[in-house]
Amino acid sequence: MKELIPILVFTPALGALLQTLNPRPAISRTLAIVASLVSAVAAIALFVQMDPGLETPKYVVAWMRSYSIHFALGVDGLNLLPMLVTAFVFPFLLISEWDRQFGRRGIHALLLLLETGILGALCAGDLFLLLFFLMLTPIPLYFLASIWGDEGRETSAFRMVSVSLVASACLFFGILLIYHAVDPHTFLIEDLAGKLAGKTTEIFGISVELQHIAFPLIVFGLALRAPFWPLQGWFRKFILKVPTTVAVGALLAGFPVALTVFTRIGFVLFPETMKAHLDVWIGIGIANLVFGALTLLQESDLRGILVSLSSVFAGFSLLGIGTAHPTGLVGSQFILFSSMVALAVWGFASEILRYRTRTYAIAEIQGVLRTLPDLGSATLLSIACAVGIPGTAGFISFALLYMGAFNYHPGVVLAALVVSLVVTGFLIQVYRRIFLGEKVQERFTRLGFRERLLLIPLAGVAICVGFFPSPFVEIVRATITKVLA
Amino acid sequence: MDAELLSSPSSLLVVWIAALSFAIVTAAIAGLFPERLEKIRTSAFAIFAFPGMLFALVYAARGFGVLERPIVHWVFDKGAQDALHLGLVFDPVSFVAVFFAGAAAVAIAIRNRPTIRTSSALVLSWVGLGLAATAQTIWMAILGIGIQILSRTFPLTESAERTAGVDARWIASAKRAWIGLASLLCGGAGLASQGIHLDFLASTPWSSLEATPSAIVAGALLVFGLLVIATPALSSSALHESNDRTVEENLFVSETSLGWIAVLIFYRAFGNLHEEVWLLSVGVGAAVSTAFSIAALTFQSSRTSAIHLWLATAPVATLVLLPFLPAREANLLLLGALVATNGLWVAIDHPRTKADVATAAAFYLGATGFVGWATSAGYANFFSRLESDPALRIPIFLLLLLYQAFGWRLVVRGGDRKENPAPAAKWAALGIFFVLGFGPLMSGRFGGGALPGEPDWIEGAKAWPWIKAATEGSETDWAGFGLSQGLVLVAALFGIFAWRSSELFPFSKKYPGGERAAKGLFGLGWIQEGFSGAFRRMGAYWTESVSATFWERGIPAVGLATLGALRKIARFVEAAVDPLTSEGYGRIFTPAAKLVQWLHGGNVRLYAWFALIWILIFSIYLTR
Repeated sequence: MKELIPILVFTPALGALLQTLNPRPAISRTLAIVASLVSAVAAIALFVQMDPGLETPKYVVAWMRSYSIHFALGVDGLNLLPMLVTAFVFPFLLISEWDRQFGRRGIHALLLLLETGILGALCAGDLFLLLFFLMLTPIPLYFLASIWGDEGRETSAFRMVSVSLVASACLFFGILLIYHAVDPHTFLIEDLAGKLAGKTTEIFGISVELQHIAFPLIVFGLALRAPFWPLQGWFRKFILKVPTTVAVGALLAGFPVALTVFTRIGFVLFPETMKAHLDVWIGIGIANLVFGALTLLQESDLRGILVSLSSVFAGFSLLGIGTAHPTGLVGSQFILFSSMVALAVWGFASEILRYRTRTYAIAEIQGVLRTLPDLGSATLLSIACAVGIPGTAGFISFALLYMGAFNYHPGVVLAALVVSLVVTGFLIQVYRRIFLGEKVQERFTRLGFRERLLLIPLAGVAICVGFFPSPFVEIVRATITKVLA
Repeated sequence: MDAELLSSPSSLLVVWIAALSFAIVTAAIAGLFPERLEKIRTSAFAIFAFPGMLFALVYAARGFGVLERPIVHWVFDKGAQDALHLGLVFDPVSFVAVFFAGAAAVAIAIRNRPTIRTSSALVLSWVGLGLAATAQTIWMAILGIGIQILSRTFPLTESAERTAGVDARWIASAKRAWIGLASLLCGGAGLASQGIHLDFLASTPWSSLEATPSAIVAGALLVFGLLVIATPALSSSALHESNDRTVEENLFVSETSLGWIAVLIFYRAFGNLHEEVWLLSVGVGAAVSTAFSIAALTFQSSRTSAIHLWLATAPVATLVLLPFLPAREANLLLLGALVATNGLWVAIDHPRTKADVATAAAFYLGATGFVGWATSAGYANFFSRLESDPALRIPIFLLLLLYQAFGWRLVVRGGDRKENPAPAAKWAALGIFFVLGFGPLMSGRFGGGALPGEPDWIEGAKAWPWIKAATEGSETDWAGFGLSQGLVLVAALFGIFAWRSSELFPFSKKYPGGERAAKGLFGLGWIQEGFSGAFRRMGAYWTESVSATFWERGIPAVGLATLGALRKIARFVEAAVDPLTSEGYGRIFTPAAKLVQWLHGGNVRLYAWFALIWILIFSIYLTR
């Protein structure tokens, strides 16, 4: 089973390579889809073969032996759901770019490279490898934005790269401190577990506890990458300049990866520090909720809604992590899954609308449901999933999150509830404005097969996981229980 | 067919789930691909719900015994403290809720001839009610609410395709349902996190919950959420929109189902709700909801709209009394109210022949606790304890008096409908109601499983107030009997004589400001217009003023100032130490100066170009 992990991670990169080598453009997009689908199938196969009672699959080979750097990839309950949603969404991202006239091979290759970066970062079991994949993801994003973005794209792309470099520098510094603090030196997370408590490092001759320098550096780097409030200004400007397909890819590379890595490093390498600062995580989570909800209310662009919603979801997920309770943590993982499914559907719907209306401006689109009922239904389902209507994956996320949060403090739940109501009210209002509203004369082209393909499977996944969450829950819970113990 | 399947009570429920699944799948297909199924729109409800209705009839034929399946875990292991459970139970309450709501919906669907999408929504709405009525755990019931809410997608699509603006009705109801559901979800999760699962047939008492802040918040959220779900007045703004009356009726049939789901959850949870303070809060909350409904009713200008709101309020009006009643009276009140109000849906909104009025009046008396109906047991029991708690019971008496007076007025005057498009369907449905509902309720036949520990119908009939008063003969029993019957009679008189004007409710014309206020208040318009505007301005302020100022100007300014200061210090130090060191020592500060430039944004392109040039080549190759 462990052989499936490199297939999962590197098949998209191979697909990207084939885009450049393939002399026949006619089959290039088929190759791209196939590469992404192979990765998706590997992800599903891994999930099907996993058993909560058995050891989780790991693929470890020495990479740079003299520096104890390993090529270590693994799948467990801490990365299963983000991994699945990434592997599942990316084929649809490629399909959504199926008919692009300009640079289709390029966008497909870069999306595949981005997929490898995200999956690698999610599955990395070695800190150096983690850094490698984290530093890889901004590269395709940079070109995706700077080539296919809107006016002002270069500035946004450069800002993204600059911020990513700062974040990576912080992460690299923190990781190096960890590497040097243990003897023998290693980057393997599994080997580092339990060995960092009380370790110190010297900086300019001053002895500092590792938990006071390495962990904050890593947290800051991840917060910048996610990005969390108040570090998210660059991300909003980036997303507003790129096509929604790229925006969904960037979102997948953002808070799901950052929070997965944060959970793993926090609870595996620095458990005491993590648990001693639960108030901080909860506080940042609530700040993200409040800020995300407030910015959401003034959004006038369909892509802006993606950014603000991602801030809200990152806040919800961080609340779950901050509870340090198994149920809350499972809820946090589920939030990553359900929110990305919902955001992907919203993103595809936005792109379909833009294709017909030539705009992302909410105020300029109305009465869509009359001619595109399928799109309206799918978007409504994505909203239902995002806000946690029973029968969707979002419901499981919120139920578990609230259960965990109640164990922490009921005030947290009340704050989350208020934000949830505000967000729902806004989404219903936006839905009404775009899809309902006054009747317009223009009749849009009906959805084509590929457009339906973008919406129906994802909506189906949201419902299936909503009714049958148990297989996912059990695997995630088993790992989390083990980690917390 | 496997004979054991139908003989085993536990396995029989598999058939029930299969019937619901059939209804869900067929309704979803019809809703998503309506073109080819439009021909069967009149009979769509009957076809899709047929297996479920047949199951209910088979259940009745088997003698109303309780069918129960062991609870299964849905999320987490069954033994885990915070596991979410699912379970099914089919008892007389389930039968009455499922069968009579289904029968009423069949008649309404034949009468209104809704489009196939609306029919699908009505089927899903009925499935939601069916799931909640047969739920053994609160999570199963919540799934029912979820299906109920999702069912509104189809009519929303339908109305949007046809005319502009009519979606306001569905949006208003969806908003209310979501607020209630979110609160209910939080409350349920809070209780589950403390090991209180509200598994309806389990013995875990609510009172075992310690009075911690978490428990109080969770309980309050649960009760609040259910009350919001049970209060259709909160979406009564929909009734002020100009609309097609049949569409409005379809919506409020759905709203009533949602109300009954909330009442059923309360009823099922009563076994676990031993704490008086919670019961009191439920009863008082329901009374406040009923008062809201009366306020909204006052400003209705259309008789049909008033009928729809009055009927949709019936669940919460029933809930006013329910928490204060002993088990058998509560059971009879709920069963009787379900039969009577569903019958009233079919009977009330028709041309006013004497037969129509008489039929509607009969069901009205059932809904309001008149002698001869099962509901009278509950009313009599509640008012028999007037002396013990007058501060609670007298206001409730007056509240119900007003509510019932409105109802009687509506029964006498009827709706706005000019014709009865399907009289046969109406009388057939009402016949079924009398045979399967009125008859068994009168005889106490539902006592086969409904009245705890009283399988015999004669024993069951002892719950009827007049028999109880006659056999036990206490003064309080007689007083309760008299008061409950007086309530209906006075309400009827009040309804006839208080508003004798030709207009049913003249208040909307007399006080247009009041109508506007009611519309805004109950449509949650104040959230949209007031708070939403304030929030939006606050959000804009945060992003444009606070965040942008902080990131675009603040941080660079601070960084610039800091590095400028460092550079000045460096120059000063360099000047000071220059004689002691080699020339150009200050170059170590060059990176800082570069950083300043970087923060300015001046040279950022240069650095990035150097770092990324190889990738550019790659990209140019790809996109050539």
